[in-house]
Amino acid sequence: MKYKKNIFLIVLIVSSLFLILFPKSVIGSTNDIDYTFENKEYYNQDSFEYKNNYSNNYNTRNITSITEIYEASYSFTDDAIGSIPNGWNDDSGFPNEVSVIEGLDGHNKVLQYNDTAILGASTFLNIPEATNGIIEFWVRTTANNKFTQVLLWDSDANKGINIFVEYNTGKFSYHDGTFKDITTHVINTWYRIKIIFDFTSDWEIEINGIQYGSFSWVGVPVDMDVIKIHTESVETNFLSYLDGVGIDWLSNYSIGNNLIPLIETNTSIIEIDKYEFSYDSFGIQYPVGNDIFSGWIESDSNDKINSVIDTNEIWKMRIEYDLPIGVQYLSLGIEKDFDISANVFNITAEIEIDIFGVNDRTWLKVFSDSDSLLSDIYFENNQLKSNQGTPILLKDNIIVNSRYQINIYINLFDDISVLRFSNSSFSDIYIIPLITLNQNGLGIVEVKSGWNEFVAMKSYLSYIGVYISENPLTNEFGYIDIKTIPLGLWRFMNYDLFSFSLIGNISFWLGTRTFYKEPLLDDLSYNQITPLNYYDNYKRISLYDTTVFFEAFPFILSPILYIQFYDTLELFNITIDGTRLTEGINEYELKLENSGVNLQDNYFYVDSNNKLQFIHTSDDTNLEYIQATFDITDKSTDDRGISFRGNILNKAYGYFALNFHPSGSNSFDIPFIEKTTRSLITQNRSISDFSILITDNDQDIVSGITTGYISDISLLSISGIGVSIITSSLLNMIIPLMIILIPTLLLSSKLGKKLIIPIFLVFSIIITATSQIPVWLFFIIAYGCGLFIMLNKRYDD
Amino acid sequence: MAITDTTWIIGLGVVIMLTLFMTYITYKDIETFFIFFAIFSAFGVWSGLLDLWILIMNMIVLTLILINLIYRRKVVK
Repeated sequence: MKYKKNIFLIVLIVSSLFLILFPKSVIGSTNDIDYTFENKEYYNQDSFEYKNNYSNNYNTRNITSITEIYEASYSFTDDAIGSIPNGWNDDSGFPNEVSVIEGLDGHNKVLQYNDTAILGASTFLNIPEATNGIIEFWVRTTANNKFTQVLLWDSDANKGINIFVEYNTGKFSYHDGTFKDITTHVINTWYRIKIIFDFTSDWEIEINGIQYGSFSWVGVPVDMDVIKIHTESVETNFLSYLDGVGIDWLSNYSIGNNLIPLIETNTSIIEIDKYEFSYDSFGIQYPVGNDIFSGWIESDSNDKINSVIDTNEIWKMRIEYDLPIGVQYLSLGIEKDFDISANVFNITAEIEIDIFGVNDRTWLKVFSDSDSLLSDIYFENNQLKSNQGTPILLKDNIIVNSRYQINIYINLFDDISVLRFSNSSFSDIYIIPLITLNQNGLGIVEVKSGWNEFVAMKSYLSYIGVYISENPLTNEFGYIDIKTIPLGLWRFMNYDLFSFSLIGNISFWLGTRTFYKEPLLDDLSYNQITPLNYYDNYKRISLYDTTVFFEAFPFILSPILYIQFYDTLELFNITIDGTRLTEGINEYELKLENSGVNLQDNYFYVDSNNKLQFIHTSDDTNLEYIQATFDITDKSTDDRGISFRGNILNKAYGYFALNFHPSGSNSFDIPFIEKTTRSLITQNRSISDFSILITDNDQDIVSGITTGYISDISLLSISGIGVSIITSSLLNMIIPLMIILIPTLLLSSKLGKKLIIPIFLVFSIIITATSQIPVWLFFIIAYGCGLFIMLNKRYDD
Repeated sequence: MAITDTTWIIGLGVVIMLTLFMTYITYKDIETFFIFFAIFSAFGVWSGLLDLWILIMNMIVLTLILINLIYRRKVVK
């Protein structure tokens, strides 16, 4: 018996080894494609940020929420939620309400008109009279055929401009004695309205950048002094919203300020203290009951650096009062260090001068940690001055006992934009929604703006499809920076689409992060600097050429890709394809799609076991899905089988869908956990792509979270598909069985058959712990072994 | 889930062969056979060779064996 057992063992070992070593020969496939995923990478279309983590060698995700502030004369950002904005008057008919709300659809702090009854919700704003000028604002309504009226009015003549939003269904209209349509309107959409008027001639309107008019007035107005917003008196139960009201003849507003939202990320805000103090000949005076504010210290000009200077960027703000002593000034004041992580920040100070003493100066200064003066602004003799005496042009002289708000914008580096917002500091990062990601994931995609009409798009890519022979050009965790430099006028329109692809026939330079245009790679001969038509946005680069430039330097740490544009740039969404190409295998593109989902709760990611995990959250009655599509057109041949593991837990439905050449499709349920987790789909046609679709199947599921995964995707090209299925499955089963059975049999032949089951159990634990088999399978093994031990005991008894 | 009939038959054959072998080298009784049959058919289901119902039936049989064992022990005592 022992002899027979040994023969069996030898045959088992040899055949198993043969299967493991030569699976293709056994299965019959000659060009398997196995799809593996990089660890810890997340795939979705959300605005998110990758940060390469060098120490751990994987990427982590850091979702940054973004608030967009449309800065204007009245942005409502400083008004309390639920209140009527400062300066505005509420003349709504009861019980209609007007109040500031937290935000809506990307707009931070907006004014809401809640029309619940007849008479309508209404506000008016008295403004300085003007015979001509420009008024800009954002407006939005929620219901069809229920209008919101915007009146730019001469209160003396009771005449002016009378605009209707959604007067007729789907129309902007105006009234000049009769109602006339301007253009189409869609409810629940923010519109940026710009009204250019000159009461000596006519008025025009610009809606989302498109100009209409000229139009005529209601009556004969002389000068405008009231802005009135009024929801319809007859219709009820709808909402209207107003944001970013900019009036160009007010000193704090310039045309276009409310066009570009200021981006406030939750990781970059630095709230500078708000404080009040006064200064007189007795020194600094604090409000009754207050001492100097936390963190602030009193200082004088001889004691500028009196704080511990950290190695981080530390900036010092100081409010000083200069006492003229002879020809010298003695500076006294208070100061505080700010650790500013962002490169760009601004400071707002409100200063009120009680009296201008002769040659007295009140300063607002900002110093760097090395005590170099970054900003010096001061009040002196009814004037605001900077740069050691140069007056700042103001409309009027400074008036005593008036409060002035001073914004200082400090730009620390030339390539950083200037962003403006009171009492906050901003990073320069705006993260672009990613549409398509590569296999290895994308890093940060940034847009920088504002400086000399310079726009930079920056992408941190693990790889792009660049390789020379077998050596990747880019380092595994290196950077790819993409910068665009529009030479013409550029506009930064929100939600305008602009796409380009890294995999494109585009010109570029390659260099390191440190040096612009690394000399050794400069002027690549096959990439001339040519204009890129960004509407022709998908071109494929052929970078398979071997050139002398690369041969000597197969690896370049942290390269940069510069893309230069020679045309007007209107952008917001950017598509970047980057694919790690290894010759012969893994040449596919991964595309992510979704519909009706909240992207922070619905996404694909790859876990530490190389499984493509998915999370789908249903929260309404509409169709919701996320889908990952693998385009394998280039590698597709006839007579394919595709094999994968997968399961889906909970509520939604999962499909593994195939598309073919010639056209056709087939889909396959992703198995539930209760079923087998291994599936193989045979096809007699060429597979062009396959998708993993997770959906709530329209409105079947209104709430619930679905998780699951797909892994071990293999594309098999085989002739005898039936045989291959069996061998593939056997191969799948034989490895863990070998790990259990061979040591068990070998040890039991020495130690006796009483120990067969304990050894069997020990090795089962080992393969379960090493994720070779699922836990449910181990449970059955353990159950069986337990029974066996009980039986064994029966024999012993 | 087995893909084809052929897969199912061959899968069952492999599982029975492994079961018979393990039964042969341990205790040659029907209970031992069913225990190993359940364990190996679980492997077959996991790898996609067999359908789930075989495993379910085996688990029922194992449970019956367990009940039988417990009952017999009580009688012996």
